[in-house]
Amino acid sequence: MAGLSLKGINKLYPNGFHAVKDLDLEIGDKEFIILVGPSGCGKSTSLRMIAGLEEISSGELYIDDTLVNDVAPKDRDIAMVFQNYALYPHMTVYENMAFGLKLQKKSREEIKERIDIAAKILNIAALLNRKPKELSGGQRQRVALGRAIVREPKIFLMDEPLSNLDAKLRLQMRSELNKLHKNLQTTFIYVTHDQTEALTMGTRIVVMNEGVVQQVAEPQTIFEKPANLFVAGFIGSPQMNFINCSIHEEAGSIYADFNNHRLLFPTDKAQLIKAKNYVGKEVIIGIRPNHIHAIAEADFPYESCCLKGTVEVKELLGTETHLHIKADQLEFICVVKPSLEVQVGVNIEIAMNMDKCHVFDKETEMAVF
Amino acid sequence: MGIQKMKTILHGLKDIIDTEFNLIDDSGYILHSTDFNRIGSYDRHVSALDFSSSFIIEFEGYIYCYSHHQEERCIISIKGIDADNRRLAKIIEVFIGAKDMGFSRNEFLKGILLNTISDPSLETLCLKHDINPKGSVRLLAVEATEELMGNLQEILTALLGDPIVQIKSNTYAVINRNDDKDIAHPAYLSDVLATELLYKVKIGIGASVENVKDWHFSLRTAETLIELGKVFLPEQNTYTFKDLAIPMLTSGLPPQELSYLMKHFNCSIDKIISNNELLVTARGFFKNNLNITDTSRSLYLHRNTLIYRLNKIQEITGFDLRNFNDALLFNIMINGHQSLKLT
Ligand SMILES: Nc1ncnc2c1ncn2[C@@H]1O[C@H](COP(=O)(O)OP(=O)(O)OP(=O)(O)O)[C@@H](O)[C@H]1O
Ligand SMILES: [Mg+2]
Repeated sequence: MAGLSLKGINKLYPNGFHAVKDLDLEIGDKEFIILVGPSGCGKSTSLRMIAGLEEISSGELYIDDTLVNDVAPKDRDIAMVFQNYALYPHMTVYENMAFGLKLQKKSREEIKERIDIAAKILNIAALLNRKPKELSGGQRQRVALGRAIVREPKIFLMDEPLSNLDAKLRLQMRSELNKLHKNLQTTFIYVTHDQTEALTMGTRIVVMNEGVVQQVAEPQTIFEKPANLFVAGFIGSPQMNFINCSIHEEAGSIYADFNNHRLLFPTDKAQLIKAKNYVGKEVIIGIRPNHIHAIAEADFPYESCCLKGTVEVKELLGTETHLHIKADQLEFICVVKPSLEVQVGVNIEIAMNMDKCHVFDKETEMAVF
Repeated sequence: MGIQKMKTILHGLKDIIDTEFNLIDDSGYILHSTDFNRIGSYDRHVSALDFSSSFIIEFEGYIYCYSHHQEERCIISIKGIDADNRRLAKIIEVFIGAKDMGFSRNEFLKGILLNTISDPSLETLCLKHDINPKGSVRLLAVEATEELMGNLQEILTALLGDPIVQIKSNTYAVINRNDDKDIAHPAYLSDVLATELLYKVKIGIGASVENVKDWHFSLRTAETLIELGKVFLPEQNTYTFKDLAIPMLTSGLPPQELSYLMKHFNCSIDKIISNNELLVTARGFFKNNLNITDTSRSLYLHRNTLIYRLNKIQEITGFDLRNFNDALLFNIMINGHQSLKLT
């Protein structure tokens, strides 16, 4: 059981690359925290610094209030799980899990006790005498986790552990890891570049870009109240639609204007815009694809925020359909019901649900709301 | 088994078996014999003996047994070719062999890998040690720290089942058979080792070779890959030729020629190297096979931002990375710059 505290942590690689910049983060005991961001944003580097595999260039790392910058990895009470795992092919499941403990010179009784507990948690007690060859992909992955669990670490560090699995197994393992976290009551720090994984797994998400933390919050907050344009665009699939607009006030109403169109803000949002002094300024409006509707299927009026466009791509996903619509030189993605009959190439009228829109400052790219 | 010891044994045998034994060195010189008159003379048959396919040869009324020790090679000859003597020769061979196994399979492998055995019958020696001298093999160099060597060896043995030889205080060589598909892929090794040891073990995967004579070459390439990899690709832990072909070429050039080449292009490559943003963009673009869509997705850059940066790189260096040739030259310049810095 452990909490972590990262204070102003930087990683400057010997070749001069500044991979992690001023990372401040408090991780509570038993949290399941996810580091997510695009390739090269410094997720793995951050994780490796926590593990001690990578030196911390500046800043302080505390585990349970103890400064551990100079503590060797093996003394940090952590276990790591990476993308590539391999079981010892000639050993049984039991021996595979015992191996690391034998290297640590643990007693036979202790090894057995730990393996029994881990096997129960992972539901592999019946497999202990099997060889890796006789296991399914999911079972192997669980044995690999078992090897980490028997170390009884205070913190689990996982770097994209599911990214080599096929889609189905990945889905299954996601929920298994969630369960595992509940059962173990231990701190998990989990790295992924996959925003869906981040949204479905963690108790909190740390979104990173170019070595800098963009937002730290619970999944729902990250999704519903992205702190800036980057988070808004990175989290959510299909991606949020963005429109460059300027804001005008006319006859007491607030509008966002772009090209030859204007969108009317609902009163509460209009008030926020006024209060924050954005009238007359340039902003970026963001709307998630499920908040743009085809007029044909919308059951409430959006007269003042409609657009006419052409369907360019239609993606059938079963439970929903994605339309890529070109309107007035802009491209929008919207989510419609599969029952809506539209063909590629036809004209369509769409409407924005402005109650759900986000507004970002064009210069700072920070969320206005 | 040392020659001195052999002499003693031969001496003892004389009292038990009534036949002539000789202990002969490589050149045919008789070191010791049950027939004292022969000591110091030459056995002229020896030069005609070819032990490359068998260590026991019957020739001109004698049975010759080859004893293959690295430092002290010698031959034992038994006079008279009959069933008894044949059996005796076999027994001697077993003793020599058994002794060998215990004392030097590892030493022998190490000798092969460090290229200190220059025995024309190397292939036969391998068979004696239960080593297949033929077939596709690549050497892996696995580098950790001295204190991790014990655990590292146990893990490698458990994982690979390949022969493992310590070649430096912090490095193991793994003799990896390519045809063995059952074992973990070397790319997995570094993750597994990092999980077990909590240390970033560096692995070089040497060239594939077909004969035991070239194993040392394969190992040398594996070690070179680690050396270059640490400088040119520090973010990786496993290195293959594919990763480091260009650095190998640029570091192989004489510095003067390399700097001449660099000057020829006059491409201000240092301005890219000191610009994180552009360098990361270029690397990402290469990783994604010069594909704009894939790169912008993986780096999460807007398409236009990516194109803007590629244009900027072109402005600075003159290389348009969307063009294969330019991309290649750009890569050579980046690596060349680094190589020059090393010299
Ligand atoms: N040892 C190193 N030396 C120099 N640069 C490095 C080193 N390790 C990583 N980097 C660089 O630091 C940046 C961040 O790397 P990191 O591995 O943390 O990224 P990541 O967020 O995990 O990305 P990915 O999703 O691709 O795994 C990258 O640009 C990478 O090339
Ligand atoms: Mg990573």
